Amino acid sequence: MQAREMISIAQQEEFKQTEIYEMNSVVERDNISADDFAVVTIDKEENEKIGTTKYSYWGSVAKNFFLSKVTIFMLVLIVIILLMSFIQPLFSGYDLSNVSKINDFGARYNFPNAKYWFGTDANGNSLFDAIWAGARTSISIGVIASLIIEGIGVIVGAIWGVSKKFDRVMLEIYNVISNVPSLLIIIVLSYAFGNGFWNLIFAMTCTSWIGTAYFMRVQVMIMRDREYNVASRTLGTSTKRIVLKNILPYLTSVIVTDVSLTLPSFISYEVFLSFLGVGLSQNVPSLGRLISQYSPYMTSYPYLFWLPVLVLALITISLYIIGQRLSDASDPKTHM
Amino acid sequence: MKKYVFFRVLRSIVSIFLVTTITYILIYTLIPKRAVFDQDPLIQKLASDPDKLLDYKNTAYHKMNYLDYQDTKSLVAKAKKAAPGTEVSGKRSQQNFKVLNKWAKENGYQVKTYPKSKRYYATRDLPLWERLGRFYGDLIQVDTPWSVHDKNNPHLKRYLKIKKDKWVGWALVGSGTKYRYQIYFNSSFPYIHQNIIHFNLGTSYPTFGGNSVVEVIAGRQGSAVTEKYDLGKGVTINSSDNVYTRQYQTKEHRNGLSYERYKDSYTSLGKNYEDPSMVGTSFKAGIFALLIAYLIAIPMAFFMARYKGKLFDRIGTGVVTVLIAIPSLAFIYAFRFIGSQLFGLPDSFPTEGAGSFNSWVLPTVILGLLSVSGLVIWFRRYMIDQQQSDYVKFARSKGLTDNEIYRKHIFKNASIPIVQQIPGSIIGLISGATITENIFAMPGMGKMLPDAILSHNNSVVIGLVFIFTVIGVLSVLLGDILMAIVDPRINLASKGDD
Repeated sequence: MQAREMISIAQQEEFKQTEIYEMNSVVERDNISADDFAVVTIDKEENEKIGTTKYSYWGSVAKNFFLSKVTIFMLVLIVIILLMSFIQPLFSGYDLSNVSKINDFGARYNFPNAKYWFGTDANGNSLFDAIWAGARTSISIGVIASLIIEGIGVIVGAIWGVSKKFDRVMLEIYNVISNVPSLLIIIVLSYAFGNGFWNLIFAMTCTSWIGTAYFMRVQVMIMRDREYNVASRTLGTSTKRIVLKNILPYLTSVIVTDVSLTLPSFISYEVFLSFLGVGLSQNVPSLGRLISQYSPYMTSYPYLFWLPVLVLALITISLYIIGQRLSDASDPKTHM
Repeated sequence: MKKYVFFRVLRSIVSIFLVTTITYILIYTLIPKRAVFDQDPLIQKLASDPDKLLDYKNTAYHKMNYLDYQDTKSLVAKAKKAAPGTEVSGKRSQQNFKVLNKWAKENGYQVKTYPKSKRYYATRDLPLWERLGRFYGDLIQVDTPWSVHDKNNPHLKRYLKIKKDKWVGWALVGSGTKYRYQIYFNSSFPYIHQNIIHFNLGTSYPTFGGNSVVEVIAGRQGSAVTEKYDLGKGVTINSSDNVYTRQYQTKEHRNGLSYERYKDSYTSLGKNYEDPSMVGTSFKAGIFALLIAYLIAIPMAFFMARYKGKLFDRIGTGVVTVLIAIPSLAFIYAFRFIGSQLFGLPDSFPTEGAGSFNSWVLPTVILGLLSVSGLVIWFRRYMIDQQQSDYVKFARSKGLTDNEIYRKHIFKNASIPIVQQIPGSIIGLISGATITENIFAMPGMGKMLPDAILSHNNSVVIGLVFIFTVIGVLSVLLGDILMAIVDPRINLASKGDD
């Protein structure tokens, strides 16, 4: 009904317009000479221009991203945390095994004050230094492990999504691995590979990439059979080019979403493994180690326990919210 | 469908086998075997006597299947048996070495001497494949009336009889079997018990030294409790013996007191303990946590989807986002703090023990809460997707109220992924249990895994990996089959991938 009304209105307008033209033409007919006209050549460049504003993908992502005030707050927060954890340890020279102040009773168990912002522990070490040194390890492990599994996962997933032969083999492997809790795999692997920073990263990434790859496979498969790709294939585009140019750019927001979920989860894994005493070597500070070391002080010196927990929670929550916002912003559907 | 299920079960078994084998190979090749003594206090005590230390270490390796070990006594006995009539002893001499070495070479052993006494002993390193073979070969043990071979008891009767035993009542009683009671009934879940098939996952070492891994994981814990046995004719006995576990014992090892009581050769038995086993503890907490998770998540997701974009939905989304982002460690500690401060619940399991209801509340509730956020996001998304579907539009155009549509149409369709999510939740619970049980010091499987790793108890680690993998694989299998039952449109046999 509505559409039909619209058409009749448009017809009426058109009718009015023709009346006006006819009126004009009656009045001015006799005064026109050849001098009133100039020859215009066709400008090919001008022809190509489109009358709308220019669209830049990443520009729109940024514009969309900064719309939310919560996100900007979280971004500032994470930048501060990152700067603190990567610069502060350079100056503090914090050493987990430093017990030089253990006999200095004045330095032990200070509640947070002007000198020791986060207080001191049983060894007289400043908790402020400890937290940033620990955060550096935890964040580094999370970031490196996420980058590795996303890198491998996207590449393998892209091949997996288009190759039938590869699919058959990989599905079997995936079925075996996905049945086992990932935490169990990580614990057992980090036990088998021994303690150490890179050993832990290897244990974490050794099998986890297959989950990301499977997720990417499903996404690639969904996009693969869309009309535009069928059309592209009919026109003779190679599979490689379809994946690289037609599919993967579309999946940017999906990949960002996945990163925003894996990054906090890897930080959680690291924290939990260090909490158990599996994974990192004894002399490497990490948030998990601090939390496990200070958990007996939960009621007697609560700041020792709750401050590392708070910093840990702030890191993962801000990373998660920024990631979610970024993945929303990187979805072209929100750019309208 | 039947064919599909058959192949799925077959694949599941292959999957369990693969994971266990890889774990076995990884652990036994990458971890140096001397690491098992890192936490062992006996090593320090034996350090003054190098002979005893060596004997202790080799016995331990032997138990863990690293190598075969023959000490002087058994080496000499073996050599004598192989070559009857030769004079041989463990003392160091050219003659003895010749005889012992001959036997050793034939059987792949290497003859060595103790550092102090210089007496001979022999070891044989077991290659990995042979250890794997032994592991799987001994995995399932079936008890038959021909199981016991005792040279000193040639007249042992061999039978299986259904009869009323004075200790356990009606039971399938065996003689010549390893266990006396093959099938018996009692009041504990699942009421019918059997001793015919046993799993053997190796021997635990160095913690729980000498016990079998299955005993450690599935045996009851805590202090022994005495029970009253009514033997008829007014005779009652108070005993903490678990008579159901009576096993055959040779005359040399026989406990005289037990023999007096039971009057047969089945005198080796366990005790009744008050607390549930590691499996039992984890299982109890896990089942209730699963219930709690679903009881909270489903109504919450239902109302969030029902009032999408309204205040409840927005608050709910905010809470769920924080819960997902926060590391489980911080989550557990925060809730433990709230629970112990506000409700006065014990913040550690052993404070009141397994017998008290209070000690179960916090770990179980927290374990359940851990998986709520994931479930809520999933169900809410699915219900919102259903809102856009044609049948909902049709129902609405027919004039059904929103309440009817949600309760009768959307919820029913959304219950398919609820079923589908159950295996995922169970796998998630295993991970969650590892963390919760550690923080609450709860004596379950989840706590045992890191404990076993830290004490280098390799056989228990492999046993736990085996059990966890079986649980994971079975739950995925059952989840798929359940889903096909709930939703007749789902056809498992066809490939739904592309």
